[in-house]
Amino acid sequence: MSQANDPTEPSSKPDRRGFLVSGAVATAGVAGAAYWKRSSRLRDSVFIARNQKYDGELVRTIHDGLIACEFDPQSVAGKRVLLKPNLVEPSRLAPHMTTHPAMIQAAAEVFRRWNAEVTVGEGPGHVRDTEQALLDSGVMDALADAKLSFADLNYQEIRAVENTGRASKLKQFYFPRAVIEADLVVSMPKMKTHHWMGMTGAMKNLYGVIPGCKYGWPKNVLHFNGIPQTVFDINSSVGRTITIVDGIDCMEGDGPILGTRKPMGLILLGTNLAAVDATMARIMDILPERIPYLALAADKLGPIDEPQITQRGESWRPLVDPFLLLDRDHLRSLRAAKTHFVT
Amino acid sequence: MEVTTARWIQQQTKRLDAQPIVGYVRGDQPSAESVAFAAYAACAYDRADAAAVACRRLLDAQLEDGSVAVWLDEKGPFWPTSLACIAWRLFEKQWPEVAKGWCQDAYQRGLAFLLRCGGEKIARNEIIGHDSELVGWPWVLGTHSWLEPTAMALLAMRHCGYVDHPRVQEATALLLDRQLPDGGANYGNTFILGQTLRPHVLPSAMCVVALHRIKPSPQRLSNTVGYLQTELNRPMASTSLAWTIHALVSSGWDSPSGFELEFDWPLRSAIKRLQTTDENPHRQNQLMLAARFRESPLLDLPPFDYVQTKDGENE
Repeated sequence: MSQANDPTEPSSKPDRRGFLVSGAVATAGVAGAAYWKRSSRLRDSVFIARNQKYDGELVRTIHDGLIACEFDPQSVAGKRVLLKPNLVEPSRLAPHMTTHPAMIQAAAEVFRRWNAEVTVGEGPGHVRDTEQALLDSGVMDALADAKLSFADLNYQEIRAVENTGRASKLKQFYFPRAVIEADLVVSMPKMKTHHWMGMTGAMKNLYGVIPGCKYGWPKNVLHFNGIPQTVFDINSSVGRTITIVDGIDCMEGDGPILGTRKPMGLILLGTNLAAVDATMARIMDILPERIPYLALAADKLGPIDEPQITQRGESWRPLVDPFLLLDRDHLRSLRAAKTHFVT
Repeated sequence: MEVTTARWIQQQTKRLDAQPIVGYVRGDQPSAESVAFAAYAACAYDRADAAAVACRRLLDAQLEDGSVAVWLDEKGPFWPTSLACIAWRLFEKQWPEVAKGWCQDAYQRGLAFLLRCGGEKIARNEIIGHDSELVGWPWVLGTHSWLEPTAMALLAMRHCGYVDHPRVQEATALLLDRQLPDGGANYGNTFILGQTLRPHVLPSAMCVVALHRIKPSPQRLSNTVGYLQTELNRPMASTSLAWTIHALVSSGWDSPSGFELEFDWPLRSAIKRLQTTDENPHRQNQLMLAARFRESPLLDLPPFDYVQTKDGENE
């Protein structure tokens, strides 16, 4: 009985391009392993912009930042780009919880100028009615304004893809069609604290590519297999990714849902999610190596040590502004100082 | 062009007749939940052929162990089994001669499967607010019980005549335990690390529907009805609205004046919103069903007694 309902059990052969190429045998394992190898070999760049506003020049910032990180616009010309915002549990009472619609529109504009075919996709982790999540987050209007298509990652058709990370016992993941077909997945998280993990950023945001109809709301299968391990595994298996972080209106305290607003005015971006998350942690006054999934990712998915990360745009040091963390045993070791904890 | 609900339903009925087998997204493979809702809508509008096609398709997808998977003809997870059982039972009630010999067997096998399943208990601790040892149903076997699959299973048991089963009482206790102090519920957490979480419309409404005509009516449920009444004043998506209409109709079931809320405006708004995006037969079927109000077959249930008095709810 458990086998029939176990997302670890394949119902079909793992097939990355199954939606595109009949009989294809290329698997995510191939793409994932190649990416892993490349990432572990190279230094990576992280770009930071300050004094950013949602009604400001976001398109220019994102464009310039990606170029500064040596992102090649030609690599997405004519290709599919999937923008993955964080709409975990949108609420009109807490717009600082979710990726701002203006960020999504701006990122879409940048990739469209580079002749990419842009889709926005999300599988909200706590909300089964995705249409309601789009309404409550303001993203529905943004999609209509920008004439952007939306892929409901909780309900779209799925295929099994090999888990190339194998930090957890899961043998494969079911990914939605839009994720499998994407040539580039752009993780667009909110800069937030997280009451279990300390922080949530580019890597954790990819929980949202996992389909709720197969894993539940919340995606409890992932929790039962370890949050750090499954964050690592999903990032290992998902293919080519970059990240653009909404660090303008952020969340501290009891994130990722109930925390308080913390204005930072930042945009962070880069072609390596672990490197960007590590830099974001430093700005929040969190030790990246103490974040369990970043510790797993270090030198496998990307660099998290400062000397291995090339800084573009603003330097992170003057931007450090400690984010309040919950005063709980599992979070106290995340920063060197004993300050900026709240109950 | 201004939408009239009656005209829209006329159009939708034709669409349903022509294509009862649908998925979550137009053009995607059929999903059990979508086909089940097509069957409910067909029952609601007396569309015998469409209902039969949908119920037969669910039957074809039923696995040997009685379960029905999310994506028809694939393996698990099993949570739509409840929804398939309701479809078979509604069809049997409405067209007993056509259903003879296959519907009852299908829902009994489905219920037998559900009764062999349950969510994983978690030892109670100070971090989690809900009673994590109550067993309802999980989304995926091997994980914890959550609110929506438990509400679906409770509805299935009640529709299919299993109201005296002890798990009806435990499922009821679970749904009530997961209500938030000021009304409403979310996916199934109440407090985490000392903070009360926010309610969401869809699971709140599903609880009220699953507990339709519960006797005596618990105060916690009244708070949730109050939350839903307030939420009806703001934009609501199709699926949430469909369940909310069912919930609010249910809440006024025994009132001499019936429900007093105005549903036409939110219905027309949801219909209009659907018309501006991609066509979505799954959501359209849910709205069609809700537009039957008191006549929705989903609410065709007798009262049931809640006798469990855990933490004094009914004392």
